[in-house]
Amino acid sequence: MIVAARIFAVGGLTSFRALFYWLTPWIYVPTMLVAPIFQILLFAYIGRSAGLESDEFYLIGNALQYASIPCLFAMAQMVGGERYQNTLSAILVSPAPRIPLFFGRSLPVLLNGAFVAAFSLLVGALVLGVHLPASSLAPLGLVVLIAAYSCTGLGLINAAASLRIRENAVLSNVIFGFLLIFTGANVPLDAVPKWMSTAAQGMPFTHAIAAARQLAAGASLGDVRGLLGAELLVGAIYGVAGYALLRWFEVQSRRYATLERS
Amino acid sequence: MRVLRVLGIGWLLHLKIISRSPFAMGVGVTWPIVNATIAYFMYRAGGHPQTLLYASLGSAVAGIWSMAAIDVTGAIQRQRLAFVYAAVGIALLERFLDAARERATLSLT
Repeated sequence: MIVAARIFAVGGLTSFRALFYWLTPWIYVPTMLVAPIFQILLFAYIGRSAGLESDEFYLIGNALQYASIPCLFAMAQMVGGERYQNTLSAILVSPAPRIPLFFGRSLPVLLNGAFVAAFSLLVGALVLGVHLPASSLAPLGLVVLIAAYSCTGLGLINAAASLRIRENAVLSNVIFGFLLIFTGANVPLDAVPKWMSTAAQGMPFTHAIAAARQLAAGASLGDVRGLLGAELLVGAIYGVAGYALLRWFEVQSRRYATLERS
Repeated sequence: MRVLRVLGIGWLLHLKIISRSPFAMGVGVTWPIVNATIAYFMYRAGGHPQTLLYASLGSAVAGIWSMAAIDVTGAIQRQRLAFVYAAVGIALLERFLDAARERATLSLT
């Protein structure tokens, strides 16, 4: 039990630190803290020009959706980077239990994704002059955490794909683009074709963004519990599927000796 | 003349490298489509279909920005990782050594 807890906590933290190569932590600032503000501003100004929705709509949609950058890229790089540096084979040859091994690497990513989204939401609100009611801040924090959890589940699938493909950054970019279009971050779901709004129901962020918008409009946490339950369910499904895929590709990479083929 | 040659061959070489990079091609294809799709839905739903032309133009220009920004920084980083600059440095060193041999300046202090 203690070994599993150590693998979960120490292994996860070490792997997360290795993502940045720890040469300079300042690389975090432009990629995680500045870029989302520009994304929010870009779509808020396009939204004003299109006359579609308010600044609050784009602020909430893009701040939450930007959690996908740390969640998708970090999860993919966690596996892809270790594979590239030949440390993954040493880990996978060990008898370490896989659930704490993989999910331990997910926890710092999840917390980082939530922090990035919360920071973007608060700074974006200040820049655009959007008023978020004080009573909505704590529930919004919970929604941000659930959104990051949900996307980390999808990130596990992305990480599993990194056991097979070389260019995981391309895949992460494509998924990020899909989420930007489909989740209702910038276009209301009733303004897109039916098949797109149906597909959006099975994607991370869709329900969390809708819940956050309702909370900002004055709804209580109880009013959005259905949306939050749906988001948690989506995240759990992706998480279980991602873990199963990781195990499957691990077995396959042992069988066909593909782990170190980069 | 030599500067033009370095520019021309460098440009061709980088074009060949980038055209074989799935990352550069993937990002280059994905982002203009994503931007154009979002702009299309936003302007159509906002009741400004006449501005769709500007939206599509904007998406294309944004695609040029992202390709240029990502590939320029990527080109330098990629060459640094591939020790290309070390090779360029060695080539320069060889030239200086040849020049020093020709002019017999190696022992001059």
